[in-house]
Amino acid sequence: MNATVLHVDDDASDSLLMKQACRKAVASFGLQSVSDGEMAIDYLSGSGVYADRSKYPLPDLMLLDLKMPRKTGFDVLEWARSQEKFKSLPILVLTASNQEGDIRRAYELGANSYLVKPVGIHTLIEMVKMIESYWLGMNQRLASLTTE
Amino acid sequence: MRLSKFGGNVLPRFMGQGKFFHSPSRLECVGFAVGSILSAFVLRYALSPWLGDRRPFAFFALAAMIVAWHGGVMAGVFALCLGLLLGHYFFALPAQSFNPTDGVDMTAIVTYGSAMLVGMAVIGHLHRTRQRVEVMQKDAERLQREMTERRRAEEALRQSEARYHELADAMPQMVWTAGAEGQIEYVNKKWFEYTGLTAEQTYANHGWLTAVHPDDREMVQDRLCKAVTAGEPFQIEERICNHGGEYRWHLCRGLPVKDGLGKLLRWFATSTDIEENKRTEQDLERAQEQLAHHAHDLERRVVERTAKLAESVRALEGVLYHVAHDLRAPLRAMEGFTQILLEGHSTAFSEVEKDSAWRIVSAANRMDQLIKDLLVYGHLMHMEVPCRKINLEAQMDRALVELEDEIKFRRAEIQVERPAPHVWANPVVLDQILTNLLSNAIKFVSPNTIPRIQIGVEEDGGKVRLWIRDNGIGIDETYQEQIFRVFERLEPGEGYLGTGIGLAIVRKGAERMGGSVGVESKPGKGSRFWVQLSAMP
Repeated sequence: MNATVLHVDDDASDSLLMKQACRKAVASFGLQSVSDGEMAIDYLSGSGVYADRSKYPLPDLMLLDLKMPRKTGFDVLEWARSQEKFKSLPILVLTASNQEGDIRRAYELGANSYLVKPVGIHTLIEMVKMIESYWLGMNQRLASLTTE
Repeated sequence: MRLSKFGGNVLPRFMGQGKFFHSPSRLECVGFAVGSILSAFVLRYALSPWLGDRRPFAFFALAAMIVAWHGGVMAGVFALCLGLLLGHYFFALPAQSFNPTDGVDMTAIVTYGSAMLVGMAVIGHLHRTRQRVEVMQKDAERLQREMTERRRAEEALRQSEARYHELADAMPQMVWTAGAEGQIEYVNKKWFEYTGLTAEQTYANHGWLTAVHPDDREMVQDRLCKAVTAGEPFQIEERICNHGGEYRWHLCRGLPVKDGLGKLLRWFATSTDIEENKRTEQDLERAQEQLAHHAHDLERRVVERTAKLAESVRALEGVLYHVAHDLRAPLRAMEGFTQILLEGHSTAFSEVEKDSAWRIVSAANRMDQLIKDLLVYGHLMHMEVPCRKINLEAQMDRALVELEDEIKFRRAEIQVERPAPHVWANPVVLDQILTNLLSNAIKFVSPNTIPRIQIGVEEDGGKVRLWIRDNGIGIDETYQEQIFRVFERLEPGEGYLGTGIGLAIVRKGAERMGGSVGVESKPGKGSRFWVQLSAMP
C-alpha cells in the first residue's frame, strides 16, 4: 500500500502547486490536502467525514503550514505531539516564514524538519523528490503507526 | 708725706661717701684708725710745749670717736687702744714709759676708756638705727615703685581689655569667652543685640542656653562638655533665637587658650550667622533632589519609551515579515502556474507568447529576490550581531559551495590565496557579505566573458582586508560610493540580475561587525572589492 502524505495549507494555490509538483515528481505516495489546522486535527483523529480510513488513510508524513486560520500549524503540532499515536509521526513544517522565532517554536513543539516554501516550481519538485526519498524511503518509522 | 697722701686719698673718699662704717674693708678701717691716731699724735706733739703733760688723751679720744663714727665701732676701739697707749707713753708722766705712776693716771685711762666705749656703743647704736632706717627707706621706695608699676600694668590691662572688648563689639559675630570649666565669662554686645537677653539672663545658670533651639540644646551641651573634657577645639552648628523669636542657624567655633605648659586657661569662641549659607545649602539640596528626581523620571521615561519603541519596532518587524511572506505567496503562484502552462502546453504558444510567459517567471523571481534582500537588510539594521573568532578561509569555502551552481553555470574561474587568517565576525553576516560579493563578481561581466575571480587577504596591524578582484564591467569612479546604498543599481535589469540591495547588505553587515568595505575599479578594467575586519590571533 502506498504511503500517504497529509498536506495542510490554507493557500489554495500552494495546495494546487504541491499537487502539480507531486505529479511532476512522479511521487509514489498519495497526497491528501486539508486547508486549515482544525481540519488537520479532524483528519488525524478521524472525526466527521475523516472517519472513513479507506478514503482518508492515516498519514505517514505531514507537511504543515504554520500561518493558518482557526487553528495554526503550532496548534496542530502541539495537539499531535500530545497524542500517543502521533508522537513519532514525521511532521515537516513547510511555510513562508523563515523567522527565527517561528523556527525555534516549531522545533520546540516537536517538528522534525523546517522547510521554507520556495518560489519556483522546479525547486518545489526537487523538494518533493527529496522528501520522498528521505522521509518515506531512508527514514525508519515505527511499524505500529499505520496499522490501525 | 705718707700721712698727707693717705689723708689726701683715702680719707676724703671715706668721709665724702659717709658710708664707710659698713662698706670699707677691714684693712682700710685699720689704716684709717692708724692714720687718725697718728694725726692726733702729731697734733698733740705739736701742742706739747703749751699743753705739757696735761690732757694726754684728749686728742686721741677725739680721733677714736671720729674713727668709730666713720669706720665702725671695732675700728674705733682699735684706735682708742692705740691712742691710749700712745698718749700714756708719750704724754703722760713719766714720759716715754708705760709704767703706771700713780692711781690718778690709771683712773684717767680707765675713765677715758670707759667713757669712750660708752660713746662708741652709742655711735654703734646710732649706726644700726640709721642702717635700719635706710633699709626701711629702701623698702618703702621699692614698694612705692612696685605699686606704681602695678598701677601702670593694671591701667595697661584695663586699656587692653577695653580695646579687646571694643574689638569684640565691633565684630559681626557673637564672641564669647568661658573659663576652663566652660562657664561663660564674657559675651560681646552683638550677643545682647541679637538675642535680646540681658547680662544677668545670659550669665546666670547657663541662661544663654535659653537662646538655643530646644532641639539643639542637648546636642550643644553634650558637644561642649566633650570639648571641655578633651581640651580640644570644637565646631557646632546650632539654631539661636533672635530677639524677634526667629531661629537662625549659627556656626559656633571654640578654641582652647592654654599657657606655656599646656594648661587650659579659658575658651575663646565665636558664633557666626550661617542662615543664608544654610538656606542656600538646603535650596541646593532640594534642587539636587529635584534634579535627581527629574533625572530618574527622565530615565524612567526613556526606558519606557525605548521599550515602547522596541515594541513598535518588533510589531513593525512582525508586520513587515507577514507582509513580505504574504507578498511571496502570489509570486509562488505566478511562477509555478506559468511554468506549468509553459511546460504542459508549450506547443500551443507562439514564440511571442512564450517570451511573455518567461517574462512573468523572471519578474516573479526578481521580486522574490527583492523581498528576500529587503528582509535581510531590514534585519541587519537592528538585529544583534554577536561576533566571535571565525576562520575566514573556511567561511570563504562555504560561500563558494553555496554558489556552486552559479559558478558552474557561468564557468567562472576562481583562485583563492591560502591560508587566510581568523577574523572577528558574525558567521551569518559574514556569509551574506561573501556570497553577495562573489555573486556580484560572477554576475557583472560583459556578455560572453568567462568570469575570472581572485580572492586574497592583506593583513595590516590588527586589521584583515579580504579582497575580491574580478574581470567584470567595472564601475565609474562617480558611482563607486553610490553602489553601496539601497536601490542604487547601475546596470539595467536585463542581463544583470540584481536587486540593488546586495552591496547595501555588504556595507551594513561590515559596519555592524565593526568593519568597513570599499571598491577600487575602472570601467572595463574590472573591480576590486574589499572588506576590512578585525584580526583575531
